[in-house]
Amino acid sequence: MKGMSRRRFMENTGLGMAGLYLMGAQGCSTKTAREPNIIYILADDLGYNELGAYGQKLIKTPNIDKLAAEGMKFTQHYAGCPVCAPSRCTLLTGKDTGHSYIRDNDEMSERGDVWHDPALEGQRPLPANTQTIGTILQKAGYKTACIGKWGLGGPNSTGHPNKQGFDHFFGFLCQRQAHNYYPDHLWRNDEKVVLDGNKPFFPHQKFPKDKDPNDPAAYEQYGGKQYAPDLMAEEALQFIQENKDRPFFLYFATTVPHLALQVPDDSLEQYKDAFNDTPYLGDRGYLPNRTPRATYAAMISRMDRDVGRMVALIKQLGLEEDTLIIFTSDNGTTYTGGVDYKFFNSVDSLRGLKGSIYEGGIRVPMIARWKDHIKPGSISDQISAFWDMLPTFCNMGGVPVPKDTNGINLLPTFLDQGKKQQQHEYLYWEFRDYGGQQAVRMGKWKGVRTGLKKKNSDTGIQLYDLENDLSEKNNVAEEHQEIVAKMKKIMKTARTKSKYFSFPEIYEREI
Amino acid sequence: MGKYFILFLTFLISTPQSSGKKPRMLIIGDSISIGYFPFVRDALKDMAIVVHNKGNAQDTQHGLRKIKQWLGENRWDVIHFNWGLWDLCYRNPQSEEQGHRDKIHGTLTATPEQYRRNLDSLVQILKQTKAKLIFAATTYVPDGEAGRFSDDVLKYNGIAAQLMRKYGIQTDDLYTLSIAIHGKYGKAANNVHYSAKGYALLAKQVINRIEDALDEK
Repeated sequence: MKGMSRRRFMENTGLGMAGLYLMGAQGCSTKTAREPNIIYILADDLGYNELGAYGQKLIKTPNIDKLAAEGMKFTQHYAGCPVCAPSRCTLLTGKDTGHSYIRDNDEMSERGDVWHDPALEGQRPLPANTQTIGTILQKAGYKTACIGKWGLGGPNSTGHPNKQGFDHFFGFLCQRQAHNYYPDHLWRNDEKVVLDGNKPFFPHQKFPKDKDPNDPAAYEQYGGKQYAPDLMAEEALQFIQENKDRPFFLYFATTVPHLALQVPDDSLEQYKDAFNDTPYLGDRGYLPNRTPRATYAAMISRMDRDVGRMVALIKQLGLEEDTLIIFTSDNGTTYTGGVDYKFFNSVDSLRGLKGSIYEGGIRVPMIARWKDHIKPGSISDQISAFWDMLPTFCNMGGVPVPKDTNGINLLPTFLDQGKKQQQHEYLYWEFRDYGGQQAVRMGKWKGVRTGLKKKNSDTGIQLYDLENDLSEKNNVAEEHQEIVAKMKKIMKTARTKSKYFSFPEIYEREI
Repeated sequence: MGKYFILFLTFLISTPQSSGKKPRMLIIGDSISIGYFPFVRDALKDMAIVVHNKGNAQDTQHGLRKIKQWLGENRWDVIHFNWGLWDLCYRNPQSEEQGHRDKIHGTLTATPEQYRRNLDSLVQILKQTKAKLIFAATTYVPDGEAGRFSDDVLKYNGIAAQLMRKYGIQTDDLYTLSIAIHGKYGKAANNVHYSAKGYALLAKQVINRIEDALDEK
């Protein structure tokens, strides 16, 4: 059975006989044929320009940069949505936000004071019997794990990762709880793991008026003994070790660099006095921080180190040729909470940040590394999105692609068989929040509607030529009525109605 | 008075003799082993005499110059040794990093071939001691390190593994362990060293390996 699906994988990827011959030539006699492992690393609110490989100058990411040097860098890859939960839903279910079940961060506040009551963990859950990358790869014989932030259903809900295709879960089930890097507990499957030395505190506070903002001791109350990303990295390394002899899928959804700004001192050392920092006192949400720029950079560099450790372990275990490693982010850089996106030039010349459907909110870095399969140092401008991962991983696991996905199989691009690459007719986003937005990417064109939930706003289609206007500054709708007409049609038909995320303004407002 | 003095002398002489029955073990290595050595020594103090080579064992070239001196005339029952982190380090006198580390403009201390040759010579010398030998794999290098490339550890450990197979010497895989603990107990994201807790964890594995070796003796 295993041999069968390996063969099917070969056929699907077009490796065929040449691939088999190569494998023989490499002397794989000690290795049995197997489906490739997949490690999908998802950063949280990491902008398009926040990795060295993408042009970042101040934040050091040597391990991820090396991943790019050894693999393929995508320059036109899109997140599913400009905020966390819906973006993750498109990833896991292979459907854009015109078809996905979760289309916004939904805290389900009807339950009570969700921000203060620790019993009300979790966002709106995925329903039972959802088909996810996890359920599909489980059927393909993979051991599956989600380690990090989930956000698609709290404890005991239908959306719990163990019910959504993941054999193993460790981390934050709830996104609100993930606002604190020193939580008093995490979840390992159904088990609440209490973290000794971490006292509970509310992750949105203002700096006390009677304390000195320059006194490091005054910030100790926003720390703890156990830094959640460290625990997650260890869990991930352990999962890889334990499953080295069988195909595995590790969805490593780190919470870095999402707010709050918190990092252990040993990582701050690297950026000590580097950025002329002034204290952030919490007046724009989350937690005060004495050195916000250094902390933000240190959080990313610490995460980078953990990526390096995972890659080192894969190499040490001799699994490099058998493991696809992807690194990406769920949406653009945040605009608040002490993050200095201007200082770091976090999204470069792109318009918008997290929450925005302009490029800065949704265009994300993506790096794919797979030794002997993906050409080192290659760059691809293939237009692609989160919902392409499900069909791509189906092909890797040797199982049929579900018909209801909006995604395309990216393996031909990975394997440098560009001519075989199927193209999207268009990419579609809708997001009822941040004013109510809708967008379509079609070839070089991007159509955008904003302010759909705002009164008296202009909701007509703005049209941008991304090839010549990456910053979406010049609305050329008037000059290209024929493109606008196509976009209008797509914006009205490229979606299904959603039970919980209704968006009638799409039809009702002027287009 | 004289009587007591003689008694005292007898005590002085007899002490090393009686503890001479304890197995003697030598740890050879750089700052990493210097970091975990005290934990090993203290944990085994009732069972063995544990000594670290004087100073830092640095790179294999330095090792070849000093090894006779470190071994001395002593009997050794177990020798747990490592070279690697210094060999694969690039240094540049102009660099302001500690130890003049500089992997961009610096020169490599020992090429893989030099490392192989030197380590081979060192093993041959160590074998003459009749001690049970354990090679400690070189520990993890994060890629942000100023003078070292992460993947070089794999390369140099690979060379060492070949040599150890050739000589039938066991390897203590501190590398895999170090990957696991570097996140929580590494000194920093760009640093190969560990906090005291990290060294204690490395020591734990070393102690286990030494205890096994002593059992086999």
